[in-house]
Amino acid sequence: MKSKLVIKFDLNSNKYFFGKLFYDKLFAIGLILPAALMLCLTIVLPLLEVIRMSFHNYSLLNMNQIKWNNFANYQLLFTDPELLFAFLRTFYYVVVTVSLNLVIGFTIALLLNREIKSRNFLRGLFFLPWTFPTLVAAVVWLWIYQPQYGIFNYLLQTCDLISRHVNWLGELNTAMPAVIVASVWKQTPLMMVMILAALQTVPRDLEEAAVIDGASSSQRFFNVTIPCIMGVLKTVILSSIITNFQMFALFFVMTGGGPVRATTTLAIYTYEAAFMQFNLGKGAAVGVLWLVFLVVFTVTYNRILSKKEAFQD
Amino acid sequence: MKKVLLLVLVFSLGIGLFNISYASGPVSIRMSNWLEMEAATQNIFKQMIAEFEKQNPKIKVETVGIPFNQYKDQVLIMNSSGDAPDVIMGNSQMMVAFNGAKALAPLKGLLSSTTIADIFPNNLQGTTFNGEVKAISWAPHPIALFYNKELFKQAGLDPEKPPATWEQMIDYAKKIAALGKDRGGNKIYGLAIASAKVAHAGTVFNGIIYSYGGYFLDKKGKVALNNSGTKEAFTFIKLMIDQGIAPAGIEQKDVRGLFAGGQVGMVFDGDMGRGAFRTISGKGTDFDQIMGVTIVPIGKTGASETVFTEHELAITQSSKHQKEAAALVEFLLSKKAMVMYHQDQAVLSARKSIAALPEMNEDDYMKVFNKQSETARPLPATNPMFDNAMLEMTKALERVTVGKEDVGKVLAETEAKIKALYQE
Amino acid sequence: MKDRSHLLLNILLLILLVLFLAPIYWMILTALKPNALLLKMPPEWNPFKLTLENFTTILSDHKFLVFYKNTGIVAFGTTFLSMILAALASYSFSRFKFRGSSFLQLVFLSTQMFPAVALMIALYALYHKLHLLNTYTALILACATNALPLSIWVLKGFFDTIPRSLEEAASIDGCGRIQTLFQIILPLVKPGILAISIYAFLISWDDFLWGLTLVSKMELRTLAPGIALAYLGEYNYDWAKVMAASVVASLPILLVFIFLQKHMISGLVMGAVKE
Repeated sequence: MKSKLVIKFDLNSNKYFFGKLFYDKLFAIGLILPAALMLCLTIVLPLLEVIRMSFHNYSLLNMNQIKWNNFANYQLLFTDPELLFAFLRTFYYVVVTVSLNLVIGFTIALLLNREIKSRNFLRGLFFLPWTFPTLVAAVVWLWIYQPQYGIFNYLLQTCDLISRHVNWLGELNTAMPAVIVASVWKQTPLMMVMILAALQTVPRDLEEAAVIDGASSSQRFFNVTIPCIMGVLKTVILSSIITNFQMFALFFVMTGGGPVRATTTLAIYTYEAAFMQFNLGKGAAVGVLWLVFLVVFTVTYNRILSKKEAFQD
Repeated sequence: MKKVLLLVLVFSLGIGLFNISYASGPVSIRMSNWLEMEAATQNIFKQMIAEFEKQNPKIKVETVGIPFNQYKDQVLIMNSSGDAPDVIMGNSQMMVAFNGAKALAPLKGLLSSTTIADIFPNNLQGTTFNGEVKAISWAPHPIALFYNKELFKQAGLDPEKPPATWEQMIDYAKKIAALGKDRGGNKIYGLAIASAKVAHAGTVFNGIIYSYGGYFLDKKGKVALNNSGTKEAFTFIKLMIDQGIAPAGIEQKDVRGLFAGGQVGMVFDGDMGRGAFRTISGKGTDFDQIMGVTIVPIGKTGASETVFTEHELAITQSSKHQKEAAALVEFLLSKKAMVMYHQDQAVLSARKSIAALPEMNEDDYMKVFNKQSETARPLPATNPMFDNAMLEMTKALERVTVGKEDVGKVLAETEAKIKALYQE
Repeated sequence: MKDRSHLLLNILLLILLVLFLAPIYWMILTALKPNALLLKMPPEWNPFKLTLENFTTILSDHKFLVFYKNTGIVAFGTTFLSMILAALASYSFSRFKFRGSSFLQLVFLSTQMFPAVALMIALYALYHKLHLLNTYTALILACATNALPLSIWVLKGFFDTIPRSLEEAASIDGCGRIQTLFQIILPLVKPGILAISIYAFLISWDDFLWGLTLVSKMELRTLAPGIALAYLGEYNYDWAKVMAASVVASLPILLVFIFLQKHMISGLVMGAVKE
């Protein structure tokens, strides 16, 4: 928000009946209207519908009798310990995936930010995995992890790291990490590229000044580099958190939520409730709870991270 | 290709003319299916429909192809939005859900009583809900035992003498697993049973439960999973896996891969197994030489106990052309269509008169399956939530085999969960 | 000393590179194998012993070509729609200050976080009423919704860098507002437009959930759900074919990316850096 003035478009404003400001507003709103209408149709209306559905007995087996059911969907959820577990699993998945994305992405970005030949070419190579559709990533890793013919087991066995064929996606304690590896593979490149681009905007003279002041390299990193790219970091982390909170395709294709329930995240839980148990009402209720959490989370996240920026505004 | 196009063109022109000359015109009916979505079955399905249209020039069939994985949900949705097709194809698990959604019309009076009476009683029982026949068996898939002759030889067993009893089967499995690793360093298993991921694993596990004299539903038709036979069946698979005789955490698709790769001595599979093994192994019909098939070994009940899954046909309640829909179902069940289908896909018929035909028993493979048909029991699919119950069954198998939980505890909890699903 | 640490870091970089590229190599290699070699252990590494058979099967499969065409239509539709809507809205946000403007911006941005799976439950019922199920429109609207928030945000950053004096000058020259926007301002933010177009294209090519649920007819299926539904079939996994389909499905975005990566990355970063 650099300048908050309204532009003077026309010098002889007496031509307007309502005055210039009014027409400005009209024009401004007119420009936003198409986007707003579309989001109304695709987000706002469905959202209201989800909230409405969550209070009704809404079954795919019986679509003709939709009745208000006195919070039965919510009661059902609160008595189902599986909801809490699904939430915790989602949380675990998001925290680990985003942290790994950040650490590995940052590492590669720093490595590429040195004086290095063919940086753009290498950046392009590193970026490749992100260009594959998520579904393709899921299928490729499904094949890599295949217990009998998968290359993963073969390589680990050749290096004597494991003694038997591990069913990575089929065992309780390896399924979630295995999915995380696939998602890190697919998502880290974007994180890396954004961080790298941000690193390159860090002014040279600032760094040099820090060197002259005798700052160690870690001091330089935390006191110069990080603050300079904070804006980008904040954005990429938030968008990575949101993407992963919603992650569906990887789980749907790779594990379907199993084994037992080891990878049943909120997205899978909701899908199961709505489309496998035919209980749209229950699915909608999960969605509402989920939404409340995300809103609270995002507001808090922005509060915490934007304190600093508030001064700049 | 061009010829086909031309034919279609001429054909549709013909219909157009026909339309003009007769005011009534042909009746158009819709049939949902997944056969036209699968590479293996798309051609034969189209041929059968074309043959029907040739015999019944006044009826036009519009096929609605939906992939298998999404089939049940899509048909339910179509039905609930008043857009149901006239004829529905489905398997036992799906039909019971369709019936639960009140989609199906009673077939008595629509199909001829001779046709209905010609169906094997076991199969007819599987499509009878509350005393009404709501669907009809089209192609049953009884599950039998496949074995690898090469591995039998290597383990010092007679490749022409498959196990006849359950104890023998376990003994053979142990001997085969003792072979250790194959040339590529892959572990060889004695036996592979699907026990993970999808509802299908839990569904066909009912056969193993029957072999141990257990049951999913009691005599009154109530869920009573937690019985001694079921416990033994669960303990059996747990032991097989714990001892390294059977692999853990796999679904039927993986089982097929293992068998086609020569890494497992014995597997349970339906009559579609042969085709699948030929494709996966990349060996085509050569694979038949190392593949043996036999009826499921005699279990605790003294009989060869197994289940069959099956493709079924039904007519919808909301159909405006039930008479024409019935004509299509009758045709698909007829000798003409079944023999066509059999020659292409080696399917079986659930009709006594057709199953006995020499055309349907041309080799030992088919003979085994026709014999297995006689003792195979229908799936205990009586509740619209059956598929979900079977997913719970799979999860129970996973908890026991992968999670190493106590069998008794898991069964008690699973039974409670399924009862809640069934609202019993 | 410095050279040595440089070397070590280069080795680290190389290892990471191999780890990131290995799955891609394995995917392509698998796609080139006949079924008989597929299950062979130890695996066949030599790509010259292999066959293009899987690719010819895939490319002569009518179904697959239909998926391809549909994905193309949806991707271009999405790109076009979100580009227009984002350009108009972000221009307005950048230039006019009215009550609720920043609130509206926040709302637009936060639409990103609505759980898609939950929305889908209602979208399904809603589109059913509007007769939008099984249409390209449904998919394009859904994908454009995914792409729009970030696009508006990025593009606003671009508009912010353009001096207002330009509009004033144009106004003096007698240009109407719309004319000014399309003829003078938009050409100046071309890099931004390009960046968000690529972004929208990639988003819609990546879509799985909407394609899976809002469309049930085979003639309207897009690639991602198409591959999952049609090639992970009823009876067995046909890995070589699935991999071949995956490679071919990824090809267009790979090309888009190779030729346009610079624009996309710099555009997105500009948007992210400016705040």
